[in-house]
Amino acid sequence: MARQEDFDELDRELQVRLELVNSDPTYEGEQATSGDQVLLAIVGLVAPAVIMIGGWLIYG
Amino acid sequence: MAESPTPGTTATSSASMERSAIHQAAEGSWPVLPGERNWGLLGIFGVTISAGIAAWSYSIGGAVSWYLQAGLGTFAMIAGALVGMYFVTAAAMPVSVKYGIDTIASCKPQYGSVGSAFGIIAQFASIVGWNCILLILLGRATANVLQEGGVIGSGANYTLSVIVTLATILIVYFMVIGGADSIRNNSVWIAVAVTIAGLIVLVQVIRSYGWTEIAVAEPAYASGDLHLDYTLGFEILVATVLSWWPYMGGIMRMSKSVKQALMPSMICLGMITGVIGLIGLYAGLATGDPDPSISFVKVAGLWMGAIALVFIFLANIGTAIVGVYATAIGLKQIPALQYRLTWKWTAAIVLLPVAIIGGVFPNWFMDNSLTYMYFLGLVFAPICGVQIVDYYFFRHQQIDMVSLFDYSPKGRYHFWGGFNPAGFLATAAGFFTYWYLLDPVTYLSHNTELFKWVSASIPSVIVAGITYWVLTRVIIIPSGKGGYREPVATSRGPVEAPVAK
Repeated sequence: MARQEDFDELDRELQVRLELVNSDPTYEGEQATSGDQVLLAIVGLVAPAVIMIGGWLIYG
Repeated sequence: MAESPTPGTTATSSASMERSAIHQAAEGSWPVLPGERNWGLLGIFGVTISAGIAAWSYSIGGAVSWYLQAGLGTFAMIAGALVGMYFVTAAAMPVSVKYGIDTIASCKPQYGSVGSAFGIIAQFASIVGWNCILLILLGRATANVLQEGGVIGSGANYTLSVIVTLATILIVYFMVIGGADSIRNNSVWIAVAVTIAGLIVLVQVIRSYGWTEIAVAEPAYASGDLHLDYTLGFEILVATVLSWWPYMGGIMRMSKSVKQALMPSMICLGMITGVIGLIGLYAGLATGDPDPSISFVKVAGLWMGAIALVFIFLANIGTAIVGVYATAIGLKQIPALQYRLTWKWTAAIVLLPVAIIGGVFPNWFMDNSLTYMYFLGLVFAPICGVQIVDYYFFRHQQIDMVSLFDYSPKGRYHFWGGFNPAGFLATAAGFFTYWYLLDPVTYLSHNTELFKWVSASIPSVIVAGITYWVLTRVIIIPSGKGGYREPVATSRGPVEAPVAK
């Protein structure tokens, strides 16, 4: 197969793949649930705030 | 989630074409389908740990040791690492997991199909820079330990450090060219080994110097205002951990769900940067040098220096591999390189600047590396703010995948000439907010009282996000640009896959 034909075939494969991901949820990874968002906020915002305040109370 | 089949296996398609398509996904710019994400939970943990544990944490902990004693420094580092990682995770992880795309592709809806080159430049410069630091540090540590142990003379120190740096670049190259599977397989054993070695080094630091001595050691550049120093220590970690942004998509697109990727991101990339940084904090306070390798040789002999070296080798090589992998995928977003550049050449392009810097002027680079990295770090805070606002508030977690790979004016993310001015203006607003609160060159604030209470990265994220929201609401959406008014899912319903299940 010529190189350009190879590229064209790959482009067609890409378009198929993009259409699948765009229109069929089974071709997507699972997105964040509200529980995931809450857990992320606890680990990434609430816990650090507690750690910072705790550190200040102990050593500040 | 059901296992998704891979397109490209019709009777008319050849097996080689199918393999080629899968490689385009796993080692290229294409979205990786859930069925192709074969790293698994163990692989995701392995890759994130091997990336997250790196000896750059010595430098980070060493910087904190200038301002804070061990107690407050420990709290500030852990908290800062988690907050920085929160913004990166919220901005870049969910979209990568959902669509199987890398970080660069994920920023096209905010910066435009052409403007996303800004992300490629930031990613390339950042990861090349970090890889230089990692591999030059490894070369230097090896030479220093061998010199301290009497194995080599001082005259051979520089030459040996350069040789080790270049040899390690070759090792990284050969481990990367195996592609995604190789990254996963190598990362798992590196993760186990580096975790054990890291714990040994951390415990040995505390044993060697004694906790009492570490705890009472005074920071060298404390301002005298403990509140200010506490915020500075916190900010150093937030800003540095934001540098995980360019790594995020390359790793997390191999995860099948946000739930699977959440803890590896927050703990193995984020918190572990702070934990390993404690080695640099404690060693920096006790000896003035955040790299404990040399002092280990003095205190415990060459064998302990060798363990410290093994740790640095594994830690830095694991991170360098993941960095090269993520950057190579990012480069593949350049349409001209998408198919024409083989994976081996892409990896070589990423490593070539590292080899030039590491081989020709490593000392010059290391002398200027902190200023360089501070500038890169402050770029990622506003990017996170822009991405979070766009993905959650405007696009409601929906991206049009066809437009993501459409560079023509018809694409939804073309905006004006391929650039979204809202993304760039908001990023500039975040940049100047950071600079106003903390000059990354002088590390002085233009408003110390405000900085003490709000730090710099967090306001930078918020200001960039608000600016983006206002500009998009007032200018971009009324102009009909950006695809905000168009539905994402096609009305055709699910496309039938040309796949034999």
